[in-house]
Amino acid sequence: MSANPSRIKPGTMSVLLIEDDLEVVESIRAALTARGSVVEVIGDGASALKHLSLTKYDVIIADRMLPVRSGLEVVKDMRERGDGTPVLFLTALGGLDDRVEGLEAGADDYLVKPFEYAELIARLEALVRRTKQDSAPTHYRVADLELDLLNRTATRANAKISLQAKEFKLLAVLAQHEGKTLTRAMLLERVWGFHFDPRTSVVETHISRLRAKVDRPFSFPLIHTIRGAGYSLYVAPDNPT
Amino acid sequence: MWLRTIQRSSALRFAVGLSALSALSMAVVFAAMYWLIGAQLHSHLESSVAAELAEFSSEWEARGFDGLRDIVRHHAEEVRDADAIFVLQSLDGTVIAGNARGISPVVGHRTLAHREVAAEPAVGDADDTFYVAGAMLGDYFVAAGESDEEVDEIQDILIKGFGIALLATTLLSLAAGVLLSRRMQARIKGIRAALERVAAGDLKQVIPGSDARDDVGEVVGLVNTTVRDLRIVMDSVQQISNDIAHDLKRPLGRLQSQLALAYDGAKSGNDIQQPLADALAQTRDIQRVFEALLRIAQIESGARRAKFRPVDIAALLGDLYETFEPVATDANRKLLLVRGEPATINGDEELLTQLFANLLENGICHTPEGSTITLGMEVTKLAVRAWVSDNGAGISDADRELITQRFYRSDKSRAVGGSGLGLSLVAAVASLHDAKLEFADNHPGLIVSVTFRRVMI
Repeated sequence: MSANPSRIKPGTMSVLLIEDDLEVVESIRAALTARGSVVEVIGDGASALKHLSLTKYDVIIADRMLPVRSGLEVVKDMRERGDGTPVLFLTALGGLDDRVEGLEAGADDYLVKPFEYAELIARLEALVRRTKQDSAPTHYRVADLELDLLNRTATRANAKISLQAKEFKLLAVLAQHEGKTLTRAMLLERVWGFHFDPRTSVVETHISRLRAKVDRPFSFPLIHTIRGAGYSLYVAPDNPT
Repeated sequence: MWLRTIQRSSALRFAVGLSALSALSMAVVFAAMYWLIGAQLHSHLESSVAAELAEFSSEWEARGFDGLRDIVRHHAEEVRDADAIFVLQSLDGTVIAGNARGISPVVGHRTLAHREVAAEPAVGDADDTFYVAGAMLGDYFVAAGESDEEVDEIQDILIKGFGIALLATTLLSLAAGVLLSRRMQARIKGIRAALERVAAGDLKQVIPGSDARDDVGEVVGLVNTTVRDLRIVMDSVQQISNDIAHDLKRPLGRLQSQLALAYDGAKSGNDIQQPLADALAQTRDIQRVFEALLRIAQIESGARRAKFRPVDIAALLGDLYETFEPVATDANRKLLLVRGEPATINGDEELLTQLFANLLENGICHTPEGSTITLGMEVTKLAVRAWVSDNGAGISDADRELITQRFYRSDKSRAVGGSGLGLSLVAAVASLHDAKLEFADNHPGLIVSVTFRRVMI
């Protein structure tokens, strides 16, 4: 279950970072450009809106607190004029309501400051990927694993896998982001609706249950641990289908 | 000095104003009384003079000149205090009978001064005025008059009485005002002194006078409550900052030594991945503490209530059971679910999830291996009671009191770790939902129950 570095390296993304905190700007820019993404920075909401009417990006990172016009207003304005570019909202630590407000305004995901770069990268990639699929499919196939979201059935190598509701949800979220890394926090939010960090190993326990049903009876694993980052569902290159 | 005191003391100003007003209204009443009584007495004088004249007239009718002369003389003789005049005179002004000098023969009523009517030698008060009525009977002029001395006397008495009454009430109300304002000033002085000490930071002050059953006493009572609440808040802020500082000392110390280890390792070319990974994990723990603290603070502010939605407790507990059952099993504990019928409450699903997740994780982490943890609920007509129980060691009565305080850890739980904030968050979420949070002995073990108001839809 070793990490496959080539799988977590993102493709180049064009990113607009709307942030006025220079320290945050510099570290995000460094982290993203090191991975081949192109980052442009704008320090206030009003200029960002003006700029966005001329230029398109793969993804936008917007801080909640911005001079002139807030991140909330930027997202609202974008959505009103029909701009569907995915937006990742940056909120302050402990800002419980900021997240809800951000999502209600039309942001696609949020991240609480301070965060780890692996978390940021994983979320940005998930966002970019999500928009590339126009309508969410109800059927997924990864190698010999098949998932039917409507009937809630999973089969691997034509054998039916019996999964509990949470296990199925976990597998579905992993399958929807095939080849991408999902962090613990992302899984906690998307599978369990936990917007907090539990003390017990909820994610690890369920991943291990899932592996026992989805991977262990079969010839090669699909669920991979990405060290220091999270989990990913993919077929390793040395395990051709 | 006096003027300053008057200006500064609202009570005294009030008293002075009030006595001035009462003096003014007394004066108005008196003026009306004075005028009415005077008018009444004067009309009485007039009618009595008219009656006497009528008597003379009927005597003249009955007995002619002699009768008239006799009755005028008789009346004049009966006058003692020179307060009445009677006169009969011929047309040339010669006085035939009576006690007055000749007066001009005017028929009807008029007012004459004492010197115009007094006979020589003058008797009576020179200031007196006489109400005089005259009539012609044949070739004679007859007149009767009465002095208004009595009216004056009565009016004098009225003025004197009024003066005394006015003086007395004014003095009395002023004295009462001064007394009241003195007392009020003394109270306010006490309140101000206490408040000045409060402002200087001494929150243990109790402002005197809250036992008085009046509006000032009420205000003082409220101020005392505010100061006491402020003290509680200040104490808890101080306590919390102490606790935070104390609680972060250890993880920060560990972080420091892990980083030092990594630094030394880097210098000597050793593998530094492990100490760095440890340091990273340590920073995550520290961040978790802050996150929890900020979350509790935000929950306690009550702003989340605006986001309340109907939440089915049965479904929420079912989800949590499914999430934590494998976790408990892996930790060698057993998790049971006592299912209840669907029951809706008004709440914040995310926070309620965290509440019960915290209780479940406490159950899993603070019980010995092999323990059974039960997640259950029961529904009544008006309430939904959800509980998490275990058959572990339980907690002492003393701990039960303190268990929801931030950073509180019982001696037993200290070894297990945790932020010491889990139950503070539980308490904050329960209080946000107006839910009753109870810790009880499960014989053996602990049972924590949260009772919500049920919403019927």
